[in-house]
Amino acid sequence: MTVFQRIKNLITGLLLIIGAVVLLTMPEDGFVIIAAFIMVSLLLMGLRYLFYYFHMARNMVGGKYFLFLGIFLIDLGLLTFSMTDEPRWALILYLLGFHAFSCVVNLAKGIQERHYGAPAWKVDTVQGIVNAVVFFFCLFHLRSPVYFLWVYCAGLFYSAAVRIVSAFRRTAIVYIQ
Amino acid sequence: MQLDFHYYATYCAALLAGFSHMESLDICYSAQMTDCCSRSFLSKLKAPLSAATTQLQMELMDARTDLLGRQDITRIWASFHFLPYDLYAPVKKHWSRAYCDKYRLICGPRGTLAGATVELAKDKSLQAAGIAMHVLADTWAHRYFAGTPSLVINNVNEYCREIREDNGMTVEVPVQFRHNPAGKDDPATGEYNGTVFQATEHSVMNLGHGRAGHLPDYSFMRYVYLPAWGDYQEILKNNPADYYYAFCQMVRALRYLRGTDERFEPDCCDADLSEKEEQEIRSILSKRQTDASADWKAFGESLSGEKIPAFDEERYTGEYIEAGKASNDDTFLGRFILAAMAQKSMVTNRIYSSGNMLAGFSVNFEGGAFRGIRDFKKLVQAADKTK
Repeated sequence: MTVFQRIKNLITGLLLIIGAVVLLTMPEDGFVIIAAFIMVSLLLMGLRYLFYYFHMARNMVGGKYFLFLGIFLIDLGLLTFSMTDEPRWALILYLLGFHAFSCVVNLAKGIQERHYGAPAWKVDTVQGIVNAVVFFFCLFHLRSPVYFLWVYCAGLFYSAAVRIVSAFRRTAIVYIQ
Repeated sequence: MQLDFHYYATYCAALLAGFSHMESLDICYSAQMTDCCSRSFLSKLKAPLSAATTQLQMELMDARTDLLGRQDITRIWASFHFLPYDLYAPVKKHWSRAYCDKYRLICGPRGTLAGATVELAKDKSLQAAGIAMHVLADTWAHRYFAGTPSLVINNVNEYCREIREDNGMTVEVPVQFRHNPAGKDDPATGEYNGTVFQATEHSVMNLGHGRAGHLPDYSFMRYVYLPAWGDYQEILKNNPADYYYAFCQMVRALRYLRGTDERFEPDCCDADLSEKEEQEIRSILSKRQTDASADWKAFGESLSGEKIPAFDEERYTGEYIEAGKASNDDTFLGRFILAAMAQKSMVTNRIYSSGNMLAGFSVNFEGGAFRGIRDFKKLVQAADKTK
């Protein structure tokens, strides 16, 4: 990693922590903030695809797909912006989908590692179980939005920790002439 | 390529290059081991994880695709399975830097790095020779794909047709890609498995030849398709011909490593095989089957007059674990691990030196304070030992 990339990871990690703390201290407005965040994300994603098209995908066979996808996402972001009445469902669906997928992947990886006799299977299995617990926790608390906020913030803290640790990791490969 | 070529065909190539039966077994075992030495496997041995030469399907599913994750993936796949052909390949003026970097990682045979790989294995262990043979053979099978997750380079669309001989006529049959990980390829119906289209540049689904499924891995396949980077120019991939060149190049490289030949020219793919040997090899390569192990095994056994044991991933694990930290570098797997780290280190350094950051940073070790990933201390210690 370059110094710039390390600094970028560090700053992003700190911003994620600040964001999580802000959300936890303002649970009332939390959903609206998250929904607004998702809308902005859609708009940014659309712009990113447009950038991706002009930057790289225009050289690719079938690359025009990304031009249309970018335009579509920007349109979707604008549409979502006009439907702010039920922002909690966006968060609920996101969390349920994310934890269900992570649970399946972690458990499958744990099974594969156990088959290989690798000690890491325990870590992956525990991660899978934690994801399953979170998934069912969310499922049984669909009417308690504050729990979703906590789960979402826990995810933000985790992402922040990963980024900050990455910023200080040794990453260079050693070469002996 | 699969076990049939990396294990049994490599055994045959080693024999034809003049190695003994036992030496050939060590070489072909190491060549095949390159497809098995994952982090899960290494963690079981408590070996350095940076020596991983492959990633299992589930490891990939769980792999991070942030900057560090992508660099890790690229180091593994570009070093061992998709050796770049030309890190300084000419590019078009309007291409962005990011696109150029990816384009220059496209794998191909007869490149400078192929020569450097064989050179690195010279006067080293048989395990190093085996790894080099894996890398060399894969440059033929995996040509036109890059060992980094990239949609703009590795994507394959539905325009893909197999060329077959049917009652003496050459026919083109459309290839149908399915996306069932548990499904089997069916050459009879033309249904093959490939990864799902993901509209994300860095998705692991877009790593190497994932989108084209196992088409590059079958020696009998001849097909035309549109590579994502090819500007709508159709490419004919003639596996039987490429695999034959791969075999001949392995024989040449092994003769050089054994000391029979003075030089190894990556461009030279003529192994001076007898007409009978050539016919036998070409007939195995063009037979429509997804696993040619039985045919290669029979050919190998006819060459040596010895039995070739089936590949067993666990054959040397006990020896490595029992040796303990003090002496496990002198075991079979210890030598394999050192050779793997040396290959990864060399390729990463070449990519980094070309100004391409896709495989991450590489630091030259000059005997001062150790910088970089700690696992590579093993490599430094081994180099000190040989001095």
